[in-house]
Amino acid sequence: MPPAGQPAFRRISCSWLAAVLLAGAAAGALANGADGHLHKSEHGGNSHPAMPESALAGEQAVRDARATPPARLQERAALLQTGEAALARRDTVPALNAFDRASLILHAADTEIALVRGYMQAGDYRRALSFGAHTAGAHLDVAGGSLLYAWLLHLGGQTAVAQKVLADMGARSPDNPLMLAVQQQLRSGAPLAAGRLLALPMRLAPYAEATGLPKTARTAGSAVLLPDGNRALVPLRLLPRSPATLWLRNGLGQLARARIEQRLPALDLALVRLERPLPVADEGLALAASDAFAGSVGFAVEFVSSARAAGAWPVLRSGFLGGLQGTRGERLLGIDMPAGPRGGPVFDAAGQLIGLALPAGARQTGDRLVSVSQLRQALGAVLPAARPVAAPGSPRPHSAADKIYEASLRTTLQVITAP
Amino acid sequence: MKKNLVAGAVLALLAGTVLVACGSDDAPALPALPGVPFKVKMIGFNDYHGTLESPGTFAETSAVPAASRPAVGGADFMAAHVANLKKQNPLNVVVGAGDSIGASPLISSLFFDEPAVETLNRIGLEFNAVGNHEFDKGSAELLRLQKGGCKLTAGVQDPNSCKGASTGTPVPFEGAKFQWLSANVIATATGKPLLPAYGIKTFNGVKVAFIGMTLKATPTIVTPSGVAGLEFKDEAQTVNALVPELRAQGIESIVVLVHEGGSQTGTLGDINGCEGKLAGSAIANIVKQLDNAVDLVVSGHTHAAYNCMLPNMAGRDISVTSASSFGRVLTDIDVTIDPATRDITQVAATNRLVVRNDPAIPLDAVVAKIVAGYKALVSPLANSIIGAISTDLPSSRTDGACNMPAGDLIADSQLAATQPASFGGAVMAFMNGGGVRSPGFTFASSAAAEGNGNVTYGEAFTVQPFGNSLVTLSLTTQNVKDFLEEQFAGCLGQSATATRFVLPSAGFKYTWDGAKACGARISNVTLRAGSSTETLVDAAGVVQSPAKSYRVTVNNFMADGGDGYSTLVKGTNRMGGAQDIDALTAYLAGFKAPKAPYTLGSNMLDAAAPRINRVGTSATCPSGVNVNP
Repeated sequence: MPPAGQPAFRRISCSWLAAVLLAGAAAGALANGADGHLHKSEHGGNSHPAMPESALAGEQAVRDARATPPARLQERAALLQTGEAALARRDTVPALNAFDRASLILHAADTEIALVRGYMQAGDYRRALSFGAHTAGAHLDVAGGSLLYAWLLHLGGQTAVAQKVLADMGARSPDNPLMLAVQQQLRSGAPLAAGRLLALPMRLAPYAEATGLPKTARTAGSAVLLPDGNRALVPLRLLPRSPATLWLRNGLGQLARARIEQRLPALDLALVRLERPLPVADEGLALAASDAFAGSVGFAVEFVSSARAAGAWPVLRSGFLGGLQGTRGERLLGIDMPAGPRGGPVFDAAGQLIGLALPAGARQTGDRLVSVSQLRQALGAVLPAARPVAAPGSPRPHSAADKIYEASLRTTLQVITAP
Repeated sequence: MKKNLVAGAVLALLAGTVLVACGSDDAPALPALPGVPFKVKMIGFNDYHGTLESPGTFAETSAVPAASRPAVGGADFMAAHVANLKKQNPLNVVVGAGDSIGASPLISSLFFDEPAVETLNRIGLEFNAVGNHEFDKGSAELLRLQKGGCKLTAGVQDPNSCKGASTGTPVPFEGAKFQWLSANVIATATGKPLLPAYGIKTFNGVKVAFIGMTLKATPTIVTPSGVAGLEFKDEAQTVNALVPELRAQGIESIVVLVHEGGSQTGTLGDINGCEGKLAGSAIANIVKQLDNAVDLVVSGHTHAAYNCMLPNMAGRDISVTSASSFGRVLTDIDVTIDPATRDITQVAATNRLVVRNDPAIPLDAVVAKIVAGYKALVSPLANSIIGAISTDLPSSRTDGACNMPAGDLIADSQLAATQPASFGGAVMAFMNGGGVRSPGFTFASSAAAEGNGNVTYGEAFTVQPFGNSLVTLSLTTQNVKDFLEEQFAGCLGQSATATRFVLPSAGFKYTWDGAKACGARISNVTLRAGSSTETLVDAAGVVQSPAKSYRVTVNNFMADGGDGYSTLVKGTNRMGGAQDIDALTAYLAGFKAPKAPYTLGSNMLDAAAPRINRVGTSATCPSGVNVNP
């Protein structure tokens, strides 16, 4: 990628900066309904410490551009702007189409980062992760690529690899404030993208619907969307005092108001009905035929609770399921989780739902697993039939962690409440 | 300066020629008529970037609605599509235009892109230009990937290198079976190309040369350490300097594989289009300077797809192709060669999607298995610590009585998993020795750096890899005695050549005497629970309470009579349970720091004597025909 003509750089970097700021403004208005303001672009990059991250992306784009005519670069900037605006509306098809077309004009970091976010907004985590890896590796001088990749790795349970990506970036750019901010969030165990981490181009969260949410809305915890897409299970302790102030939102940013249909005190859960259905995972949500054995692989997914109701992607953690505890025979979750309100789904190695995580009860030492047999006993026909049980000794169905996470973007719900 | 450069280039060419001669390949000759032109199928792609799994959907143009775009790519289907194309013409060659590795997904990058090379080997790649990303980790690493061998980190084998035992590929890492080419990448220390400048393949007696190179601007887009000690020459000048050398070898058919490209104008992105003829692009500028001897240019770098005819130095339009990226597209190129002139006379190129939904082109199962193997290895759980041990627990027999520490631990875990009434109500468990895989559990930290004593899930899986499930069944005391008697070669249906000792769980002890007759070798069978000990078989070998029933746990292999334990088939009230690895993981959780590690013999039920005892003093555990060595 030989140096580009400087005049072109000047024009296009400004044009792209304007594009992303405009898109960011639109996006911010839509996405940040709870706080309602646009976050400034962040500083980053070794060679231009005072240059906004988005402008650095533009610089890279122009270094790639070489002899690309200015008119083509302007066309590209317009496509990026169009795509970003569509993405902010969560209209992923035209967004990805615009980004795709922009990518045909120039192989550049900003377009690739936009594509990665577009895939995530569409719920296509595996594609985002794969392409994010390329973006990070191919554009080392653009912080957003590596940071978005590290964030996505962490979300999907690849925490060690995420740290390695950040460490490599730290070696190249030790004082990059964006990198330090991401590092801080990931090390907290409960990563939340806010402020500078929501700035374009990397924007470490989905654009999320916020219609009807009051300013006081907060993310109380997590819930599980049931296979019909119309109902969900919510921990009792997360329910708001006012039944009219309960919303559920998935990892694609889609929101639905919910009302309580049935309380299940024996399970510390409530069955709620959504005012409009939310999409279920592409392959549906399969429930395990029987309870998972202690020591078997499990994946727990949940949203980070927050005083804000901003859109987010959930976090997956993997581990080995615990055994029975206490005289009531409650199951221990077994998977190491930071303290939190829980409520998210737990999957087995085949990606089947094996229960729901709840925090430790009184006189308990660890998070609990409300098992699938308990759910069946309490909910009966609400739940679909289980898949046939494999014969003893037959190969155990296996689903990769990234595929499980991808499905969980729809199955795991943010519980949003207002006082 | 110019003279030196030329001399260097000649040296480089000679070196390249020698290297290439070693690896050159003759395609099977077709019964072609003398002097009649024939066709060769060339299959090209670029910018694979270790994309072992499908990168998603793609279409011939961006005008195709997203919902109508098929899933494409993936090493398994790339291999299948390449094989399908090769079937159409036995005179074929598979070539690449660089960036096969680097900036790759986790499934490849975590393993130092060895998976990318292994899959490309099986896709059938033969000649491949280096791209800028081939230098991401430096030239020494590129040479390792070319030649094979394991990645060393701090002087020792990296735990994420040479994973063939888990993926079905050779160990140590086999290296590239294809030849990376780097005509314009000169090692400054030697003045020669880092890798051969070109490769030659012969079709029906006609040699075709493939010159490979990357963009000269590589040092501007790769970290300095990656290109240290290398010089990148002008692409067109490098090719043109090679032409006389090739012609001196009688070669007229010349193909350039170059990791440099361009983009179509417009945003339709028709994979077989050439909108704007790549005007002003780097690749167009290179082609414009190429010697008229070059017949075809397979390009890459921009991730664009195009199928162009662009003017060379002489003003003649030559074919210039690029196949998008990530294995989404293959370029199917039929070239016609005139044997009289040995030159390419016609080129017909078509970019084709690597679709995953063509029933006529099923996936390549061999490659799919490799991809699945690496997919499993990339699990975030592989290096999770599940427990700790205080000393080595080998999978070998440690005394003449045939005790095995690793087997003891596994039997204990299986009993623990099935002791609760709701999980089987077992009072004893037995593990077959052959099911405990080498090396057992090692105290020393592995290359994963989990720390001395810690046991990772990956290590546990190595010892228990079969995915057997536990079965708890009811056996009478007589059944238990018979089952133990079946351990000896030729006895009660056991193989005539194998003696197989099972490992019992803690609290179960017995004595065997190889000098006695078949069916009379077992005695002193006791079962201890808490402080009470029950005798099942006395010192004289007499079964006590023969009809009394016990709940016994074994794995499903044994429960079905495996390893010659046919008595177990008689077990009643069977109850399926967890997988063996689950039971082991759950059990070891009780020995995970800060809890005390698992210590051999520390179980109070193991007091006084080993679990398996032998009459006599031999230190040799029998495993074959001789039951009393």
